[in-house]
Parts: sequence; structure tokens; C-alpha cells
Amino acid sequence: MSIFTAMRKLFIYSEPKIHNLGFELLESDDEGALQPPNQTQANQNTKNSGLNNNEMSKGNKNAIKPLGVSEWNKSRKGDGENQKLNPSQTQNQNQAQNDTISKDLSYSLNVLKEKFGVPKNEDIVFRKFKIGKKLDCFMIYVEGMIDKNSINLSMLPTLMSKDILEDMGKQSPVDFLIETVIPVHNLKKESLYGECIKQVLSGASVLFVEGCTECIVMETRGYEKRSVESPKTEMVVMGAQEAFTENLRTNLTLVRRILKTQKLVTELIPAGDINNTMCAILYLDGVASPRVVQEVIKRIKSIKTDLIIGSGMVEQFIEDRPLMLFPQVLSTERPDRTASFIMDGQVVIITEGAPFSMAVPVTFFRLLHTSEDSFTRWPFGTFLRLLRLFGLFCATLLPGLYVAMVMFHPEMLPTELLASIVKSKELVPFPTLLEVLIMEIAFELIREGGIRIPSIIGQTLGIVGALILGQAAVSAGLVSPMLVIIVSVTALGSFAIPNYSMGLAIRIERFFFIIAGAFLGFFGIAFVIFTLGCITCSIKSFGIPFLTPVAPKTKANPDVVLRTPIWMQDKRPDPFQTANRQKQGKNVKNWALKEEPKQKDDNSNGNK
Amino acid sequence: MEINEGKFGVQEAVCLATISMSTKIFFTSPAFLTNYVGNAGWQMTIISAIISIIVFSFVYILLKRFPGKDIIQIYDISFGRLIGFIFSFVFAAAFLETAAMLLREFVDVIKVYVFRETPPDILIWTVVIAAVLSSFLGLETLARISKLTAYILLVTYFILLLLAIPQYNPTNLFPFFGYGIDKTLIHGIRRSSAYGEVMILTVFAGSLQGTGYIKKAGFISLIFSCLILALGLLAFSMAYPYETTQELIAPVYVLARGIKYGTFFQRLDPIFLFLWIFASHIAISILFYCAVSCYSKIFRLSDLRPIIGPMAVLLYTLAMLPRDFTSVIEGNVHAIREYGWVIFYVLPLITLIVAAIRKKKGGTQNA
Repeated sequence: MSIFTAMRKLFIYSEPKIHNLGFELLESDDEGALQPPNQTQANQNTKNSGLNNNEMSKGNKNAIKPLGVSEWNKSRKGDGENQKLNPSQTQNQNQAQNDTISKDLSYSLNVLKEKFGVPKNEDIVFRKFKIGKKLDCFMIYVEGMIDKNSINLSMLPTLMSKDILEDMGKQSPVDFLIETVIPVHNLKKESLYGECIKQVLSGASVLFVEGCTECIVMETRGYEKRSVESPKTEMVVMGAQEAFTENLRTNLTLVRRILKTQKLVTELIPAGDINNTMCAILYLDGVASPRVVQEVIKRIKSIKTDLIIGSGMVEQFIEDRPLMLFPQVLSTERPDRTASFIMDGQVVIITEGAPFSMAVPVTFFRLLHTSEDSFTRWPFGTFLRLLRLFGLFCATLLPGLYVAMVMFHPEMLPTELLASIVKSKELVPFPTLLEVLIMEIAFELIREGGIRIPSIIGQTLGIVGALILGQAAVSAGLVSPMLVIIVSVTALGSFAIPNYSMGLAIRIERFFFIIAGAFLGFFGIAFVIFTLGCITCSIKSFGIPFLTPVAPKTKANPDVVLRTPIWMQDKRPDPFQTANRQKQGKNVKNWALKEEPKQKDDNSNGNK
Repeated sequence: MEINEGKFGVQEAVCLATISMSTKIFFTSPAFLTNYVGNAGWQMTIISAIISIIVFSFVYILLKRFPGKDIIQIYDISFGRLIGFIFSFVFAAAFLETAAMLLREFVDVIKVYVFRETPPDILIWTVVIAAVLSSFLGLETLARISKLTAYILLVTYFILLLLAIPQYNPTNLFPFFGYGIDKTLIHGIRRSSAYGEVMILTVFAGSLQGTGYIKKAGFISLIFSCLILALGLLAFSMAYPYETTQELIAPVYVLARGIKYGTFFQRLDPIFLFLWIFASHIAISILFYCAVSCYSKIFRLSDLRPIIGPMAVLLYTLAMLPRDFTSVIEGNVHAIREYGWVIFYVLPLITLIVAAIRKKKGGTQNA
């Protein structure tokens, strides 16, 4: 059936689909303006769109439910008022009323037990006690997600002490407890069961008090988490040695610790219909393009899936062109790099559960940069980048060029080199294409095995790798020594690519080049470069062409391929449409300029 | 509803036009024009470029009368639907024929030097597929790939000319005026259609930010192309006596083949093959897209994708029509270079006169 549909689609013309993937970040009036106009309106629109999405995702939840007798009586009393409201408003009101916390403590207890599936669900704790030995209450939390010490040693003794309610007077118990009793740094009131449940599941403890229609949400999160360690995939010699962890709060703290500015905004959006993974969107207010921020929020809110675990899944849901090989977001595990992205006007997404942040929009050239480039002086940074570019060239084209040269263009090889290649290939039973493919696939297997293998038996892999790719294979006459060198240099080149997703894309593309080189020599390779180049030129990352600032040409710091001195990089990248373009002032020997007048003063004082 | 072809800047436009105009240096044209003017080919191409610049100035005046409009719309407005249709159709056909002949010339030349045993169908289809894919991805993509590769192409080209310095013999430049100034001048004017591809800018007028940008892109690309072609022809004139150049099918390739610095750096022609193939791929794709775009605009189609497939078949058919390489060089390519100006230059000039007489003007300036 699917084949039939595909065939039909091939022959029948269909109108181009209109969808939101066509988001383009074009030049606009608000560009360069510090205060982006219509932000509030855009926010409003997003909120509305978010509401619509939620309503859509809830589906039948909003359907009219049969009323109980008491509810029916209540609704009859309020008929006159309700007549003025439209049906949807009435429905929302009913739903809100059903979710509102009851004054009756036992009712609240039953509702929550039912919602949490207690007693079947055994890790939800309902702790009943009396505040000041008088007022009934219960606390609810998830076992293992709270800090036991703060509850056992601080909260419970305080709340259960005898004279605690003496000064309460006529004040609401909830307000009184918040203002004068509970020794917790972060508290808030909630009036809906749904919100309380979300908070409990995220590790907070919630206190319900008899006779109150509000509860107290207390920040007592204290679950087990990995401590901050050094980066595992983005190591640097000079620079910070901290990496993100799986904990969202820790990650946000790591970024905030670097960017000590009130302009840093963190918006939290839940993603995943069931697991409600929190996605933090970080950007610099007044710098990041409001349209990109809104687009990111819109795309994350439009994700309709039960489960989100980590940034990799979010990336796949929000990228512009899912069928393309190149990554369209930039993942990093380094807080310092994340901070630099934010300062450049990019929007960063940090997802709960993964030690990576994602920066959008991204360009091809940014995927080849590392934080080491900025930490070292410009000649070293430039050298490293050029080295990396050479690595990219080797990783992509070297095996393909070797195949093309041996099979189609041997005339370009010097006679001695050609003779040694021919001599080394004499005993090899495979044709060149097969020989290269066998070696490349063997190498990819070793690499994949190396990642999955338990570290205890890691040494074994090294021995196996050396056997397959090394002297043993050559001695057996299965591959030529020249090819071993080619595959090794290719591997070294691919290790030099700093971005893991980019490295994977290059590894796949390499096979296209090998096959094209085997079929049509340099002509085939040029054809694949042209087609891949065209496809890459057509990619956009959050409205920005992937190959900016080269194609199309836009204004940029001299920090694209070469890394020029840091004082020359005074502007934020033009394609990001930042509201504030200027990144720094003129820093060319500033100290000398400042000292001149001081010296004059000193001289004049001396003369006096 | 008009086709939304996207926007691009002056630099991209310059790259598009320059690559389309300069690619012919890699093929049979240098040898062919040596037949007419001897070793004064580089002077002849400068004359052709000057003529083209003058004509383009008039075309700019025409475009200025209709800001934001492309040449197809201008034909329609100036002549009415019927004559406008004929003019536009001829324009589209000229682009398709130019693309097809460039394709055939490229494939035949590459077959002579590199792929002697490969069936030409495979080579032609490969280029056609590349043209189809890039056209599907749109004009913006084509402009960007041109921009991206332009630097590499330019640098590689000049490296090639520099590496060939040991092959140059300045005495080959004499007699300095070749077969005579009069012949150089006449053939320079006649073969000014070598720069006819600059007219692609008039087809994409709506995609540039304004008429001023078209003027800038047109003049810069003409000057660049003139430099590239003239330097290439000068290099060939110095490298080989003109009797030899007349016999060479692809002088650039032979020049690259002659590079030799010791026993290791020799026979670098396959590396320069990349330069050749890239430039041809881009030029053919641009001309093909131009034909598709003109055709869609003539029939006021809102989407040009359905045209690409049939047009690709036409491109292949036209490329396969000439019986052999000789008929390609002496028939079709010769006709395009000698008489192409009638279509690329005369039609817009007639339009300018008619528009001035009929007092037609108007249009909207692009944002």
C-alpha cells in the first residue's frame, strides 16, 4: 500500500504544503533596537497558542461530565449568572471548581490518594499530624525525592511544637504558617490539586491544612544526583573544567554563575505529556531576537509526545529539516560555552535529564568551533581551526579521493608512488572499492564497540582493533599498507571534528564519496560535493541559512574560519538579528590610552 | 500568483552571473576564437565585454523604467500579451539551448580527456540530476552555492595560471594584434554574446533588493568575467603558438597537464578537474533554472516544481541532438556565440525603444 502511495505521489502533482517550518528570520525594524516592539503582544499570542495546543492535546478531557446532585443544585442557584456566560466559559469554570482545593481535609486526602493511586502506589507519603497540637494537616511528598533532614529536623519539629499557633489571631492559617512558622527558603501557595500534584512529582513537599482552600508548596527537593564533573566530550587544555549534569537546577546555576546579569531570563516549559520534563529556555533579554525566543517556545510547546528524556529528543522535535544529516542545533556540555552562546544572542535550551544544552540558531561554521579557540591567543586559535578544517577534509574526502585516484586518475600520481601502491596491492584479493569499504566498516565497528564496551574489557578492543586495522591484516594480504594509512588518517581527521552530531554526519557522508569516487572518479566526487553543497545551502536553522555568514554573505566578526584577535570581535553575529549588536567597545591597548593623561598629571605634579 | 524565488544580495548575484559567463573558458571557445583573431583573443574578449557593458547600461535603463519587475513581466507590459509571450518564449528557449549546449560541450570535452570509455548518457544524466536537484531547492540555494564555491574557483583558477608560468613564452604574443585590429574589433562585437549570460540578472530582477543592485551586480560581474576570460586567453596565447591553440579542445586542461615542478608535483590536471566540473555544474544549473523560471513566469504559474521534470527531459534531449562533437562545436556552440546577442541584447533594446515610444513604465520597488 505504501509503495502504491509513493508511486502515486511521484506522478501526481500536489500543492506545496503551508506549514510553520517556513519560519525565516529576515531583516526587520526591531533589529538593532534595544527594546523589541510588540513583545507583549507576541507573548500573548504564544500564550494563546499554547492554550490551544493544551486544549487540543487534552482532547476529551473538556467534554461535559454528568453533574452530581449538589453540583446540580449549585448550578441551578447560579443559573442567572451563568446565562450571561458562554458554554465554554461555564465548562472551564466547572473544571476549575472541581480542581479547587477543598476546605475539608479528609476530602482533599481522599482526592489526592485517588489521583496518586494510593495504596497501590507505595512511594507517595501522606504524613498526617497536628500543627501546634491543635490544627489538623497532612504533608504529601514522594519518598526519595525530598531532603529528609530538612523535614525531620527542621519542619516537623517546628510545626508540631506546642505554642506555635498562639499568635495566629484571625489570620488565615496558611498565611500565618508561611509568614511566621515554616523555616523553608522557598514557599508558595497553590489552590489547585493539579498544580500540587505536579509539584509533588517534581520533588516538592506540599502541606494541606484543615479549613483552608490553599496549600503550601515547600521547596524541599533533595534527590540523589551526580555532582559536577569535568567535561567528557569537550575537553580543553586551557579553560574551565566543569560540565553540565543531569539536574536542571544545577545546570541553570552553572550558567547563572557565569552570567551574573539580571538580563538573563530563564523560562521553564514542560515537555512530554506524561513525564512533564522541564525545558529551560535561557536568553539574554534585550539581546536575543524576540522572534527566535517565541519560535523556540512555540516549537517546544507544540511537542506532543508522552515521553521526553533529554535534549536529544527535544532536538529531533524542534529542528527545521529532520531529514538532513547535519545537526541544526548545537549541543554542548560546557556551561562556559553555553554562556558565550547566550551572550552572542542565541537562545539556549537545557532539558532536564541530560548533561547537554542546545543553542539555536546555529550555523555550519559554529559547529567547527571549540571553546579552546577563545581561551588561547589568536595565532594558536587560528592554527587549531585550520588543523580542524584539514581534519574535516580528511574525514570526509580522503578515502573517496584515494578510490577515485587509484581507479580513475592514476596519471596524477608520481611514478614512484604509483609503483609502490601497485606493488602493495599486488597480493590483495579485493577490488579497491571493496577493500576500502571493508576497512571503513571495520573501523566504524571498532569505534562503535569502543563506546559500548565495558571499561574492564576495554583493552581487548585495542588488541582486536590493532589486529584488524594493523599489521595482521596487511600480513594476511587482505588490505594494502597504503589503505591502512588512509583509514588511520581519516579516523584522526574525524576525531578532530568537535561536534559529535557533525562527526556522525561526516562519517555517513564519507561512504557517499567512496561510492561516487568508485563509479565516476573525481567527476562523481564533484557531483556529490555539489549536491550535498546545494542541500546544505538550503538548510535553515531557526530561520537562519545554515552557511551564513559566507553564503549568504552577512556581517560577522572575523571569527568564522580564522580566529582573529579578541579585540577585533566587537559585534554580535548579524544573522542572529540581535537587538543589541555591539558586544564590546574598542579594546586596542586601552590601558595605554588611559594612562597617558595620568602620566601628564604626574609630570605636572612633579614640576610643582 | 507570482513565484516566490526568495531574495539574495549583490555578492551572490555577481557570483551567479560571473560563473555562468566565465565557464566557457574551460571548453572549446578559446580554440575557436583563435581561428578568427589569432593570438589577440584576449583583446577580442575585452572588446566583447565593453560592448556588453554598453548594452547592459541600456538594459539597466529598461529595468529602471519598471522597478521590481523582471524581464518577462517587462516584455508583457511593453508589448502586450502576444508579442510579450513570443519575446519571453524566445528568451526561455535561448537559456535552455545555452544550458544544453554547455552541457554537451562539457560532457564531450571531459570524455575526450578523462572518461574515454564512460557512456556520455551517464555523464549527461549526472549533470542533469544535479541541475534538477538544485532547481528544486530554489534560486536562493543556487545563489548561495555560487557564492560558496566562487572563492574556491577563483583561487584555484589563478593558482593554475600562476603554476603554468614556466610554460609561458611572451614571444608567442607576437604579432601583438593577431590577424589585425579590424578583425579583432569585428569579431569582438560579433562574439559579445559570450557575455550574454549576464541577462540572467534580468530574469531574477525581482529577487534582488532593487534596480540599483542589478546595475551594480551586472557591471561587476561583467568586469570580473572579462578579467577571468582575458587572463585565461592571455595565458593560452603565451603558452602556445596560435596554430597550436586552434587545435586544443580544452586549453585549460592542457595547461594544467603541462604543470611540472620536479617529479612529485606533476600532472595536476585531475585536481583542476574539480574546478572545471564545479563551474560547469553551477553554470548549467543556473541556466537551466533560468529557463524554468522564464517558462513559469510566461504562463504565470505559481509553482515551478512541476516544470522541472519535463524541462530536464528537454535539456537532455537538446544536449543529445547534435550528431557528434564537431557539429556541437561548429554548429550549435558557434551559433550561440555568434548570434546569441540577437536574443540576449537586441530583444531588450527593442523593448526599451518600444517602452519609451508607448510610454510604458511602472512597477513596485522591492523592499
